Amino acid sequence: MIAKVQSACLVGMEAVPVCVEVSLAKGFPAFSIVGLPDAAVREARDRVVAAIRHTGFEFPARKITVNLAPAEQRKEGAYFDLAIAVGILLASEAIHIKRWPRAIWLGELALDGSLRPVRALLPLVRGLMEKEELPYVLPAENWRHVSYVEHLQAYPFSNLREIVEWLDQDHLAPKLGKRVAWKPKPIRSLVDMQDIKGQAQAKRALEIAAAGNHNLLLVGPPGTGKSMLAQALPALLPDWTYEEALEATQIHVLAGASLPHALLASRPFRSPHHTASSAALIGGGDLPMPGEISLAHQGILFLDELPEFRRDALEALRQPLEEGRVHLQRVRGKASFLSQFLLIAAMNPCPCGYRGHPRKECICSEYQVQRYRAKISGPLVDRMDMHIEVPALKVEELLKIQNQPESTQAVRMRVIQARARQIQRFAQGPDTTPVFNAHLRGDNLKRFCALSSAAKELLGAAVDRLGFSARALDKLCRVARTIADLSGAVNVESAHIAEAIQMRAFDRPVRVSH
Amino acid sequence: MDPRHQLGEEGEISAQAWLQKRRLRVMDRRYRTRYGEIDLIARDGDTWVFVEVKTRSTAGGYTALDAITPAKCKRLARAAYSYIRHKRLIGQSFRFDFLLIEAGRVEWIPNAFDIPEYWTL
Repeated sequence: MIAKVQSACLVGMEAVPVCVEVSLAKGFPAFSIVGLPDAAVREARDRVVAAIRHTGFEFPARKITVNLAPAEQRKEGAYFDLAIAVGILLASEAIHIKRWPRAIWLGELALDGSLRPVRALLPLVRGLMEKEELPYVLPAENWRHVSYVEHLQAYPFSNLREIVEWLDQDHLAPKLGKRVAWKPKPIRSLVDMQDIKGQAQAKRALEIAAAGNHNLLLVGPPGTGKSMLAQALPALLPDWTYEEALEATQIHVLAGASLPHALLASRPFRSPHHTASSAALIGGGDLPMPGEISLAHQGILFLDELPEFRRDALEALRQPLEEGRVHLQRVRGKASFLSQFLLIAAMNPCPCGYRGHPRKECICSEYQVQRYRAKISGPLVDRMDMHIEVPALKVEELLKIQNQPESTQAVRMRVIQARARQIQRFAQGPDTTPVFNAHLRGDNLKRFCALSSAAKELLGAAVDRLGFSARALDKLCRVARTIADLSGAVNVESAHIAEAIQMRAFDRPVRVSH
Repeated sequence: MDPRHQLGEEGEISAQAWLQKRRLRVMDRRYRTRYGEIDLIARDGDTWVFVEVKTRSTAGGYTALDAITPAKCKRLARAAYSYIRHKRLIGQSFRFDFLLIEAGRVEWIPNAFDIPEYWTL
């Protein structure tokens, strides 16, 4: 009188296989669930009783004990209803079993015995598939959430009765809905590159950032187009792959997003407000939940008004920026989320915003400016590959109609080619090789960023004159590598280095304005 | 005899006949324990069934089910436990049924309640 049914749940962000054991014993009728269930699991009791009765079975008058193993692991959510119901029907010998597939049973039961979809199925299934590939018995409504997962075997049902008939071999398993081939949707951003007047250097920086996944800081007075530039960036990035979309969607689902389609259609563009706390930014909560940096995984994180962000929030970005992953330890558990994003930040050159403006006077004292810049100085700026000044345009520049600025589409073609070159080059490297130039480190950097002798000389002179740090030097090499990729060059030449140096405004001596 | 008492008595007798017609063997009737009385004790296969009978002469207004409260269930469970110890039935399977008789109409609720973990019997 014991039945075992495999099931699983998400604990925090981790997929945990759970064995649901149901024992029916003599004694006073009772129904207890043990194995550290939370409220939603314990309430499965009442749902299961009603669902079994409404499916047309008698609920057994026995002492029923449901054990969720492993016992010491906390269980959460309404994942087990189906497994418990099937276990009770099995153990009470109320149903005939002619087939018993080794499968993972997931589903929430409604009181009338129909199956309700469970939460966050995609990350759960992906987590479990890493351990073992088993078929799944699922609520039919859940199928669209996972139909994109390759090699996934599933039996979707819409109520308990169908399952009982299927086990009795009266019925075949319902047909799977069709697996829709996933296609990325091109990003249609509101801003096209050709709508932005002037700012040739900043546009070039966007191109480089998109091609090599380099972080970018834009510095300029209000109204010069920093936000517009940032908004033009998403459309420059190449379409993402299925694998990238899965990774990113998983994080959004964990954060509780209900997506109209199973997978996100295009790369995320996140632009949190500057009042965001560090928990909102990097993730947090009692049970760790993903923050903005993880929601921007495989996409873009835009931090407008960078110095207005809280200091601790910005400092918290440092480790995820380096590693592409954030590790959180919170009261009710720990988690680690992917957070590989392209960071684009914008700021004013001073508190009033008009330092270096051709027409407006800056009213900030030298001390105020220093304090303002100190908010983001040091380690964080050092982690930005490019710092670009976005100056206010002179009147004649504003009115002049440029002869045909490049459209987003034209730039995007070059970006795609440059990315293809990186992928091709890194395919030869060892497993530790990253996907983008921006993530080159140590040996890989030396190996893939071979400089010509002229380039070396120029770099040496730059270090002497401008006092670059060792980290900044590496950044220069990476940016130069991307510039070379954009132009299709095999080696990094001095022209590429020279352009890369131009893209580091903060490392050059501060320009005296006016 | 008090007319209400008589109504209950009649109800229990018709309940007994009703259950026997449904292949339940009635073992005891009006069994007294220190926790209260058990109206009927029957066996359904190998399961011991403790039956609470409620009788109303008229339909409408309150139903007989309204007379069954959690406190009454607990009292019945305690009485049943006392019966089980007394008759040395520990290890068997048990069940609590309600039988509602309203103006001659019978409603049977088998396995009417569970014993929650927090009840101390």
